Amino acid sequence: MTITGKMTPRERVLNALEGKPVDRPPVANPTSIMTVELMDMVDAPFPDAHRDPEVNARLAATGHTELGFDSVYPHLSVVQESSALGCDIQWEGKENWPSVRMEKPIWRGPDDIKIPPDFLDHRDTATVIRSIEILKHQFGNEIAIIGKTMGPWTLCYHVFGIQNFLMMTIDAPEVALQALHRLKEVSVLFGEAQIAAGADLLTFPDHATGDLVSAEYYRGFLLEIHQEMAERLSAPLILHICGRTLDRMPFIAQTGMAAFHFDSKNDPVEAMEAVEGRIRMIGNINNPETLYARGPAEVRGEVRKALDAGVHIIAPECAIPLATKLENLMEIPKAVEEWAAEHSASTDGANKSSNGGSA
Amino acid sequence: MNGRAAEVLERYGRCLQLIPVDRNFRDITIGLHEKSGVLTVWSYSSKPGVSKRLRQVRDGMVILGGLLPETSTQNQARFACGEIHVTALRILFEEAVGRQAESLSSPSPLQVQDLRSHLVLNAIPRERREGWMYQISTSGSDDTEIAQQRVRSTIGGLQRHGEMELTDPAAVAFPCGERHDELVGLLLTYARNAS
Repeated sequence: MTITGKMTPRERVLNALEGKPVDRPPVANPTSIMTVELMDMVDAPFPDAHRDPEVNARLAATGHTELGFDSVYPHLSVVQESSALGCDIQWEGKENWPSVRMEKPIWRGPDDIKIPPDFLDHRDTATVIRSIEILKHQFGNEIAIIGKTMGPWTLCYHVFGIQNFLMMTIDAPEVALQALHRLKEVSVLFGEAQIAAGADLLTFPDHATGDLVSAEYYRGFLLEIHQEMAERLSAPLILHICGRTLDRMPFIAQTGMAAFHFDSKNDPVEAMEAVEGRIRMIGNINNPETLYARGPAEVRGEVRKALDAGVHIIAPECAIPLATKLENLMEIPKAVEEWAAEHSASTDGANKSSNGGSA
Repeated sequence: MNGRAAEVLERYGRCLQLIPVDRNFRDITIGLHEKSGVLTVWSYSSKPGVSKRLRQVRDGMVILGGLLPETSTQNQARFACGEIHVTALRILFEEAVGRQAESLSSPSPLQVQDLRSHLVLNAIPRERREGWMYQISTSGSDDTEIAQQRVRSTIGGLQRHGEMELTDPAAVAFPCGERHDELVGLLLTYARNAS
């Protein structure tokens, strides 16, 4: 089937996630692309943008209106769920993301885990849910709205502390598994609330990174839970894990999730080979060296490298540094359009490779 | 794309440097853009007083770096030589944004106290056939070995911070071959940290 007309950004993203034809590879952001300049532009600085839905939506919208991405994404930090669970949050100012004070864990083991009955009404979860409603009202079915719900592995880091939780996985793996199963209910609760509010898909960060744990850990502790999440959550999921993940990609490909958002520490060609077409891939433009420190020419080069490797959706590898220059971010969609035009011209409308291009 | 960011980049060119938070003015973000040799101090903030602040930064760059103001504007300037000395410019911009207003009133002299010795470092402009260069010397001690070492280190600092070129063992010049006394005075305060 050949796609001749121009698709809406939302159609483009959703089609790519389902492996259907697209007019060009989408540019999306399963993690934040907000910068200090965008905050100034729409008067939506941190930390207000995390905690006020109107301000949050105003900032999130610039991902499409200013940068030209096919998606908008109202999650500007990683703290919403953990804040609503009772974790201590360091809110920071304009130039820093808030963070969970993991050195002050709130729980010691799975028996302590209690999801507050007003979890979805907490200011920090409610802000995102309301912001999604505002974005849905603003963009309708034109732009893909990406929500996010943290996976239980990351939530365990937040509520128990990283070191405590990793020790738990060694000393009492069955207890750690129990904790994961209890906290996965937070992922479902918050995820479904965002889908009901208008999110078209969800990022599912669960940081079982190769920089901290082995691929065997991923298989033993998380694979089944992630498969369950893909079944239970009623929208496509994008699994996000930072760092080196090549060794666990064959397992990730079995989760049933729509896509995997991967880091630039993994070569895109090797990553595509590792998943063998069983999951769509999103990424993996480098943040600290390319988007933050270099210029549009280098950004363009990395985008083309990812597209040539067959990466289905182009995105920064993770939340971008807040002082990233706008011209570098705006170069991403430009480079994708340029690449798509060249490939369309060179093949005269025929197969545009494995990026989900028209066939 | 026809958003505001696209218009700004079209009008003012590439962003050379970004200061995420201006501690001296309401935490706004200030960028330095360049297009066809014209430098523009820019902020997307619409807080009251931003225009005045941008002019203050531009004027600071004129004073501290010897730039020529674009007189028809409040926030633009250029190098008299027509070149863009990017590395030095980034330092100049950070200084103009980061300094309190009262310390923006005069340029740094071509003579500074060394931070690694008791010597005073001097940069003396000299004209040669290929253009202007700056002879680096020291004063304040008879210890020739230390003096030579500090001259070498300072020259290394000027090459790194100002992308200046070595013209003889004790002298450097900008690639444009022009005099930039104010800029060299500023760069000396960075180069003296070199060891």
